[in-house]
Formats: sequence, C-alpha cells, structure tokens
Amino acid sequence: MQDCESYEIAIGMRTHGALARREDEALEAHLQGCVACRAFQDLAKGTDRIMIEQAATAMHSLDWDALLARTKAHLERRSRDVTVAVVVTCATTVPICSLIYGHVLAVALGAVGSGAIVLAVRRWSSSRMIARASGEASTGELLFFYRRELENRLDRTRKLPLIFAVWLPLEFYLMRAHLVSLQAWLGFGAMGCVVAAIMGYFALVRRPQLERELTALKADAARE
Amino acid sequence: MSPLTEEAELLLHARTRASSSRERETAFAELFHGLRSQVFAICLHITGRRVEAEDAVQDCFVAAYRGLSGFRGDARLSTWVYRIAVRSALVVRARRRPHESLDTTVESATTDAGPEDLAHSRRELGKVRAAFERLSSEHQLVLSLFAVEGLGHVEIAEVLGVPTGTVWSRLHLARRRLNALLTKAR
Repeated sequence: MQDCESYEIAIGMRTHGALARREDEALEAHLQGCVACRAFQDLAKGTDRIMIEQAATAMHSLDWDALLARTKAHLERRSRDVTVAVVVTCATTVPICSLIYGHVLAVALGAVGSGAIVLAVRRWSSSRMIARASGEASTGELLFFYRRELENRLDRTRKLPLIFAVWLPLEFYLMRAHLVSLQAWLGFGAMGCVVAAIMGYFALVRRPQLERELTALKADAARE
Repeated sequence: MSPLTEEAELLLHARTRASSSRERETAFAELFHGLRSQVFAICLHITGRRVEAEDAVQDCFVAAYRGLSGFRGDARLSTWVYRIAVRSALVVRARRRPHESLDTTVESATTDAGPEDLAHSRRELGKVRAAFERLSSEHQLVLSLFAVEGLGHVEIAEVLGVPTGTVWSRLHLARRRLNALLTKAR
C-alpha cells in the first residue's frame, strides 16, 4: 500500500515530465502488475483530458480582442474614476468649507489637500491589493490571506458605527462652540448627510456582501 | 514552460515602464496576448464558468497593469501574473451567489463531433465539475494549475509559494480525493 502511494505520486510526476529515466522504468514495471495503480493513472489522465478540453473548447469561441478591449476600457474607467473622485471631493469640500470658514484661500488649500488624500488612498489600496495578489508576503496560502483580508474588512465595517458615534457629538460640540451662524449649521447638515450616506452604504450593502463572501470561504474550508 | 521567454518578459516589463503611453499600451497588449491562454485556463478551472473566467481574466490584467510599476522581479513576470490570476479567480468565485448552477456547457470545437459525442462530453464534464466542486480549495488550486497546458511544476510551486515536493504530494492527495468522488458517483 505504501509502495502504491509512492507510485501514485510518481504517476503525477511522469505526466508532467518530472521523472528520471530509471524512475520512469520502475514505474512502468510496477504498472504492469498493479491494477489499482493503472486505474488511478487512467482516471487521472481522463480528468486532465476533460479539463484541458473544457478550456480548449471555451477558448475556441472566445473573442480575445473583445476581451482585451474590455480590459483596456476597464483600466480607462478606473483612471477616470480617480479623476472624478478628486473633482467631486474638491467640489463638495469647497462650498462646505466656504460656508463654515469663509476664507477662500483656506478653502482652496482644503480642496487640494482632500484631492491629494483621495489619490493617496487610492494609490495605497491599489498597491496593497497588488502586493497581496502577487504574494510578495506570501506563505503560499492564498486562501488564508484572502480570508484574513475579508475578516479585517468586515471588522473595520463593524467598527464604523462606533467611529460615527464618537465623531457626531464631537463635531456637534465644535460647531456649537465656535460657529453659531445659520451658514455653519447648513454646512454641518451637509457634512452629516454625506457621512450618513457613507454609513448607510457600509451598513446596508458592503457589510452583507463581505459576510456572504466570508461564509462561502468558511464553507470551503469546512469541506477540507 | 511559459509561452514567453524570460528575456521577452524582461523586455516587456521594461517597455511597460516606458514614458510613452503608446509604447506602454503596446507592451501591455503583447503581455495580454502572450499569457492570455494560460491565464484564462487557470481562471476557468478555478471558477468553472466561462463568463466568470472572462471577468477574472479582465481583473487579473487590470491588476497586473496597475501593479507593473511595483513589480520587483523577484519571480518571473509570467509567474507573477499567474499568481494574480489565481487570486482574481478566487475573488470572482467568492462573489458567486449560492445555488447558482455550474456551467457544464461544452461547445463543439471541431465540426465532426456529433450530438452523441457532445452529450457524452457534457455528462463527463458535469461529473468531473461536480466532484471538483466538492474538493477543498487547496486541492482545487493544485489540480487547476496542473490542468493548464504549458505550466511546469516549478512554476506551479512558485505560483503557490510552496516547495516542489509539497506540490507533488498535494497533487497526489487531490487526485486521490477526486478519483474517490468520481468512483462514488459512477
């Protein structure tokens, strides 16, 4: 039985050309007299053939040029998204800051600063994604990384209401203490709406989505 | 062996960092054409569906393009792209809604395949995919990579980040489990 196990490993190695000539001959001699190993080999070959054929037939009718065009369009869309994010952030920061503080120069600086923050965050998240995807810090356990990343994201999403709960009274106190005009209250309301929209997105859309992905991964791991 | 030679990959990498955007685009298109078959096959085996595989290929090349400037050359460019492909396919698969049926549609690649052959192929593929879906992700990954034409065991070990000995033992365990599931189904 122990012997058969090592021959079964050798069958896989032979299929992929990793056996030396002498080992290959020894395997061939064993296969002549072992029905179980022959069956193992046939089934393994059959499975490989089916999987390779599936890929070949799918590729046969695949429009590669359209796929490349789609990929390029996606890249362009992403870079456009960054520009839009910067513009929108600046455009919302300017009126809100001008309502609250009333200084044009400070507003302009705030707009540039917020644009830079958006760009930096996008750049950081993108580089982090690539680093993880390419496995630079890899232990080889891609699934483990993915699961951990999902758990971290979920954890952060769960902490958001807490951050909101801390931020809200603080902001309220600052506004009340330093700015008593109607304009300041309008600005405060607008900021509150933006934050509430972000909170709503995370609570109603993002969190259930992350939970679904994590459940699927855990079910995967449970099957092992 | 990767379809691109190591020299060609190095040259492509240098060109993707060129200052001219046209040069970068041409280099990216060449990278896409050079690795597309392997990347698609990896994605198809992991996701099991053509549409999802196409999405994963797209995500993979988008991530690769965006990350090329940070590629340090510790591994081969193709190996790095295959790693991204594995990850993109896993992400696409994880987004799948539960209870969606598997895509076991087999199209005729040649005109001489009759309806009976096609039906038989479809049944066989259905059985293999059903058994494959019951394997652990680790086993699915190793089987998926070994079923990609042109991918050697050294490259697979690098993609998975494990020693080659581990790759063989993992492949053996995966085959054993798959064979047991297939035998049970028949």
